[in-house]
Amino acid sequence: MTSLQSHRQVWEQIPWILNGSASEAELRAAQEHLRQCADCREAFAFEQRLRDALLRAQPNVGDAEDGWQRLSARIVSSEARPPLSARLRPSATQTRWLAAAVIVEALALGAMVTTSWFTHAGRVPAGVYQTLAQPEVGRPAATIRVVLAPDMTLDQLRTLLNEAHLQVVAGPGESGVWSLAPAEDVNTVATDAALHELRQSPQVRFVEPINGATRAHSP
Amino acid sequence: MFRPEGEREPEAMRDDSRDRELLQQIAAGERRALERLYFNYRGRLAQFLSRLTGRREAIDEAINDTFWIVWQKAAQFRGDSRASTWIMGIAWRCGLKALRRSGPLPPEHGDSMLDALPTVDTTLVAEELREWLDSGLRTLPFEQRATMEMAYFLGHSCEEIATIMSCPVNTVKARMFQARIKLRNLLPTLGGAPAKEKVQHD
Repeated sequence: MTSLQSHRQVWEQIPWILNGSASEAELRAAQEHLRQCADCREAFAFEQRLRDALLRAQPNVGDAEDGWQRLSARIVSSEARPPLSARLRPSATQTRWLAAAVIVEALALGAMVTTSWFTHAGRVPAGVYQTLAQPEVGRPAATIRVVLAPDMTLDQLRTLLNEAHLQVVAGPGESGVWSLAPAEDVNTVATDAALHELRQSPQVRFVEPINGATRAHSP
Repeated sequence: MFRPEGEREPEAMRDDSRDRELLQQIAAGERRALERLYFNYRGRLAQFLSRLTGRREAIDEAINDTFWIVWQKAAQFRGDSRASTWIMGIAWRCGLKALRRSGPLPPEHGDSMLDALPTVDTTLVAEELREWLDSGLRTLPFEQRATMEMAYFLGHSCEEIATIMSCPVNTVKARMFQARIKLRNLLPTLGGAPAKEKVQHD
């Protein structure tokens, strides 16, 4: 090791020699160097005075007893209240109850789904579909077919149906035919009267009774 | 001659043995042991922290938090360092947090602060010397000041300071080197000689 390396190493070691944390080997090397090096001896003396001054300085740091009382109060307060993890973690009893509740809930859900499936299956057989054009159960049977003028408005149609006591039960189909039925109980008089109303309307292009109730009419 | 603390080693070992025992008792939930440890450390911790900040609330908060953590984590002390190093590591982190909560950390002063220091007076009395020393220390960057305090005031080794501050040993050496150079220039009256920078650091 050169003299310069030794000088630098010893200079860097001075604080740790002073505070007693240097190893025995470092201490012996420093002692040897310091005997020969006035600069390092002077540096050592400076650091020693600096350290002594730091140790002598005793800043006022308040009352230790007050601090301990505050810490004690904090500990007591925390012990009065279980730790957050304990509060969030369910107990063994709670866990068993939760498991039982989940099982009961699952069984109830299963029963509900099964009942619903059987009920649904009994009301609407699988594979049976109902279209909008298909007469619903209870819908009156059509007694009159008509073809209306293309420029007839919905309001005009509604007014005509009201006056003739008719209702639309189907149509219009591809050929523009509407199927009408009496709004009231079916009887011949009512159908005839309705036919008469329809035939009076300039916007009815064609009208005929179904099942040959009366003869066809073309205005 | 060169180990003024030559008598400290057995004493330090006794202190460490006592602290380890207290930590074990604390881990077992003995509050009396925490009280003993608190009063053993409170003074030096408060003095150490008071040199880093003048904010009394931050100091009290840091000490309270430190021993609160010691109370909760004593069982986690593995014994691979001195008990005082483990406690100081907690105190260092709590101190930094408390300082940050109470405001920004003290600025890292540069050489521009040197002009504000008083002129050297060889007749300084003890009180003036202390103020002079405090003024000099305040010009050091926060980490350099803390490093010097841990070495000279608390007596920790270079490796222990690295553990406490969670930094490499070379960083501790560099901080100590810079702090010594600056104080040597600021406080020549302690050395009785003008500033010198004869030692160059790699």
